[in-house]
Amino acid sequence: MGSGILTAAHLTQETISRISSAEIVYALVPDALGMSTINKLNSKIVNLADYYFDPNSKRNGNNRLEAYEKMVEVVLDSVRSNLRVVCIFYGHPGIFVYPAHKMIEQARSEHYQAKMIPAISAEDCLFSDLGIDPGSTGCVSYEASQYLFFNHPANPVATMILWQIGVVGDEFLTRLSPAVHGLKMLVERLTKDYPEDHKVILYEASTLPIMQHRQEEISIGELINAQVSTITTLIVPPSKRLSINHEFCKAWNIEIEELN
Amino acid sequence: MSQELTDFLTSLATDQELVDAFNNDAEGTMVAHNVPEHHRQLVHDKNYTEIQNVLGSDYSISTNHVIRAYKD
Repeated sequence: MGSGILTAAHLTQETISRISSAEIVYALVPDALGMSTINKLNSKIVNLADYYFDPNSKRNGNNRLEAYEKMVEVVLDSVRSNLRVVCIFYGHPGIFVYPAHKMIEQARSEHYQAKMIPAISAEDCLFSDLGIDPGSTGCVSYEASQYLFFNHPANPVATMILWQIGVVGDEFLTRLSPAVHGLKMLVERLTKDYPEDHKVILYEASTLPIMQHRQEEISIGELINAQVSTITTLIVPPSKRLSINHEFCKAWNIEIEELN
Repeated sequence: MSQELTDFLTSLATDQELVDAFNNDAEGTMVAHNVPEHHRQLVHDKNYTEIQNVLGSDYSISTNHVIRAYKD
């Protein structure tokens, strides 16, 4: 399940109930207020941060993927002991959370019951804070490095959300900051589809109830020197207007006037 | 870590009456909730980085995805 972003405010009733009744609670929640809130619901808590990748000591593996696999095994050990296990990840457990998907898949493959419970994601906060409706022009969402390294087709009429720009360009998963040329690569890739002076937004959801979210508008070219962290998300607004597919509409006798 | 600051901010996330009181009188509301003076100053200064340090938040662990598709 997920903690939401501002955990104390975002935990759902269902999540609270399941945390309270668990025999063991694993949590990977960076928000100290969140960990405190979860701990008050159930003190049998194991902090998965202890298993997170540490680029200095590498005690949890040689890269983030190995650390995630270790987390999966730790949680599965409790499942195999027939405990009622809850595992909480920051935000939504199914959105850009590799270990959550992996541990559910593994548990089911071993014939244990496993269920993912929805939660408030950073994307939900983003839509609220920035007033973006993904239904307006459409919305695509990519992991930032995947956007660089794979052939995602250009779609400049839709809003694009790029996740994990704080580690962009690191194919080895060994950094907790962008690769040396990560932001430069991002600018080069974006300018294949957008003009260099196109405005983009650096977004960070509020992590304290007394602070505002980060909403910094810069040009694509300025991204090279941008301050980004592991919680920064990049929003690329559309650079082109939606256009009607006349051929399709004509073939199906669609009333084009109704689309304007 | 400051338990008073943790408890105060946690309540602030869920209690609208407390939010209203804080907006009207931040200092008085924090004093009433036993938030230590040096932590109250961090709030007044909007020093969020230091507040997160005091609380013990660590956002370096918030990146949890890989690059490649992991299901065929």
